[in-house]
Amino acid sequence: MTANENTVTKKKKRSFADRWNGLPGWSRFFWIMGGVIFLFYLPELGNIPGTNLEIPGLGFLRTDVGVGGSDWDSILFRCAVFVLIALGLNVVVGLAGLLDLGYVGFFAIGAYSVALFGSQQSPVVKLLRANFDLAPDWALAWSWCILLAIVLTMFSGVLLGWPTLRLRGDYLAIVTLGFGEIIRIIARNSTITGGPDGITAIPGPEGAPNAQNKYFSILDQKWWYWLALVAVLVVILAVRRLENSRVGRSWLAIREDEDAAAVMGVHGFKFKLWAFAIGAAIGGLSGLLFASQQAFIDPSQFNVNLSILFVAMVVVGGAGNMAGAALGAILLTYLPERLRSLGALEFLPERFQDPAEFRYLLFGLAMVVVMILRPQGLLPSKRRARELKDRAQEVPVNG
Amino acid sequence: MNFDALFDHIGQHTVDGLAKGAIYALVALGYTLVYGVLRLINFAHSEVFMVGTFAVMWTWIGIGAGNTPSIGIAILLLVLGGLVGAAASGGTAVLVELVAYRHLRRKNAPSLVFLITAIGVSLSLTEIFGIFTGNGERKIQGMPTILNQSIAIDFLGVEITNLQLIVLAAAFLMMIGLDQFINKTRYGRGVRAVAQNPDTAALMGVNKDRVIVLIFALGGLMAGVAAVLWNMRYGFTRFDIGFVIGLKAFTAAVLGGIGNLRGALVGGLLLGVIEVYFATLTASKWEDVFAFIVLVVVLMFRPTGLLGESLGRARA
Amino acid sequence: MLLEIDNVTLHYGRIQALHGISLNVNEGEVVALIGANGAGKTTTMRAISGLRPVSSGRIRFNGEDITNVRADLRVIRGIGQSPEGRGVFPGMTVRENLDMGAYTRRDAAGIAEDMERVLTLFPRLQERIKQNGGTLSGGEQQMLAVGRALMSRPKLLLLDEPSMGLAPMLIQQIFSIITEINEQGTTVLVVEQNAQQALSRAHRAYVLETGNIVKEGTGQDLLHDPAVKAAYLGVA
Repeated sequence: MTANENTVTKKKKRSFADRWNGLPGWSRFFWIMGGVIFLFYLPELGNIPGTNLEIPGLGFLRTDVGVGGSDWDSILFRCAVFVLIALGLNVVVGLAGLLDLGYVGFFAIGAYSVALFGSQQSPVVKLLRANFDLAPDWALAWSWCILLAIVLTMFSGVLLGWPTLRLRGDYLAIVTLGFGEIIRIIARNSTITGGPDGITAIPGPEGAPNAQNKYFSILDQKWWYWLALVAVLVVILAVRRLENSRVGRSWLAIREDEDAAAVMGVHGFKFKLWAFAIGAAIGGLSGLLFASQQAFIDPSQFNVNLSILFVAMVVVGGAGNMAGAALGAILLTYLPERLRSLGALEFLPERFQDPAEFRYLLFGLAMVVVMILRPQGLLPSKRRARELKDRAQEVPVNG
Repeated sequence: MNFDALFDHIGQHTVDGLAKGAIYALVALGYTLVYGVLRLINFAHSEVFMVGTFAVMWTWIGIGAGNTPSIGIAILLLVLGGLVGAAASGGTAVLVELVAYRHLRRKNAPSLVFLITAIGVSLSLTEIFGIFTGNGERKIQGMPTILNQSIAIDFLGVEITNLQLIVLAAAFLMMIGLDQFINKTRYGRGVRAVAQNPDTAALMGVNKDRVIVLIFALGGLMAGVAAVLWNMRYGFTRFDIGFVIGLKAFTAAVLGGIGNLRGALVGGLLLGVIEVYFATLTASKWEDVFAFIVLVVVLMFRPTGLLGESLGRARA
Repeated sequence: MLLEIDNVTLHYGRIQALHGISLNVNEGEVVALIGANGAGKTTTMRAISGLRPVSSGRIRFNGEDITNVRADLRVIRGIGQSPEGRGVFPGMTVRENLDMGAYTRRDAAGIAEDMERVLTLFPRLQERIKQNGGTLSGGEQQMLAVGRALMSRPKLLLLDEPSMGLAPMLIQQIFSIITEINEQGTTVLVVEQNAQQALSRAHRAYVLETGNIVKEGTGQDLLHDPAVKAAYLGVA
């Protein structure tokens, strides 16, 4: 790229942000509402709702167009759940600068909360019925499970964070990695969790899974997507508020220079713990949605690679920036599926045409390439990009 | 808790634990060397070990080794495997440094970026082997048993097998060799200098990049030897064996004092022994959880490990 | 001219530490660089030894442009340094530290000869030869750092604050040794806060203020310069 081109692209970028910030409030509101409506419209992508008419071109983006494509609504749901996870992990990795490699643990705890307390088939529910003289079809209502999942994950976040958050960053990474694995091993080895067989009949908003359910049935995933989308929007609003609060500024201070922050009276440990607990709660919420939609979970769904996948989403997209983290989650979920439905993978040997086979390799390589070429991520937070640039100028001659 | 089972055969359990821990110790050296010089946990080191096990297996299968060959051929296969494993693992480790880490150091990247890159490398290597070995079925890969286990020494009811003897002897030999190299040679002094004060080391004319390649190569070499011992002992490998071995070896390194070579040996042996004790006391299905608990406890109460951080102890 | 610095600027991140300084050192000289804390003395040293990249300007050594040469290769070209804060390797013995000084050399006989010479210059080091560098006192560490720099048999010896943290008697001693080293044929560039000692021992000197060279002259001239006296010598 010549110097000239460089300045041109720079100018463009700045002008987009400037233009957005320069818009009057009502106009920005209009654009955001339009975006939200579009997100709700996505399941119908390509069609005009209520008619049989098609909007040419848009349908091309769906994953169910080609032969062997996946159900579009399920992919949308999966994207939304992963966006939710990325947003939660972004609080921990991007905002507070803590590398959590055990995020799948919180995801699993959220999933098991609704499974163990909400399912008719769960050993925990059966145990409670027997010991507390409850009705023979008793199980915790789904809405209470949400609360329970959030409380349990926050609690486990504090439990894990308390001893470990005082450690150096790379020790923390290893310890959290072990934590995620332990949660899985406990789920597999205990009888109370259903062991390796897992738990079936996990309820959703309409109670136990049932093909006769009006909205949240196994056959139609649209409502699941909308539910997850609402959760994503709520979390975005909440985290946005948090970012601009005293807590958010403290995270920034800790990330940039923990010692200096301590001098300014920012108690690093306390705010790190907050980041951990909040991130954990969001992870738990996504785990709950995941389990409810699947109606069945078992320990093998929560392996370590999933944790690494979550981290990959955040850092490839752009740690510290919610839009970036969301973009990472969408790209890493949607792209492999779209490629498959396009038939773009047919040149590969047959067993590689399933994205599940090579997805993780792709993520691994994406992480390495992005970290080397663009460590701030695809859609970086401005501040983080500047931090990295400043550091790059500090290199001694001998490297 | 089955205390009788433990104490009735405490000597035997100790020997079994030492033989197990010797492999952890060799892998732990790789973490310790890199950490001592760069203050970086090389997450990809577990995969360096994994690559070694595959290289050794393919060599054995490739030259048509059958089950339980004669003792002479077994030794030949062992030595050959050691050379191939060391070359493959060492080569992988150096490649990771040259392809990934070196670029990041040039940009003075924060440690988070290093960690994420290392994890990415680790995941990529695991997946490459998962996809392209064993017809993509991600199965356990068996290999010829090159040593028929027999009891070599029976001392007061404690039975030491020929295999355990080989594992322990090989681990100790490698360890002594490395220790001498680091403490007695000019290159070893260069390594210690960079670990203790990289800027001053440059002022002495030490080429930091060369030292870093050297430590990756040495760590890989140790992992390669661990790989051949693993293959001989367990007779299988798998694309994802690196994870558990890596976590345990890292625990061993921290237990002994990360950055400290002798600490890696002590930590590895100790972890092996207490792991076997623990498995005897409880159900062995919790064994993998146990190593992790050891790690957390050590980090909380004595983060510098039993012997302290020595290679780079000058840098707080 | 042995060392020639031509209009060098240097930045730490967005902060400019050197604003285009030029200085030179001739073969056989002792040149002093004096200035207050934060004037850029150590930064200048780091630029010469290559620990920091310069933003602009050139550095020539022995007629060769070394601006972009790696720090470790500058040692081979003949620049030896006792860095700020001494940089003793705490986990190595005194002998190993001295051996590190000769890291780039392969002539065993020459190294042994220089070891002899350094231990004669600093008999204290001989007494402590098997002790770890980290256990030495401040003065001993300073001797070790200077001795170690000599072990590379440098054409140019850079000394960064050799008197820092030392008792007055030891300061005297260190500076006599610097003179002795110079008389044995080594060119010396010394950075000092102790202007009195440095100026009285140096052939020529430069005064550095906030990243600029504001004065230069012979050691004796500057010693009697009223402005220098007021600012650095503590007398009016």
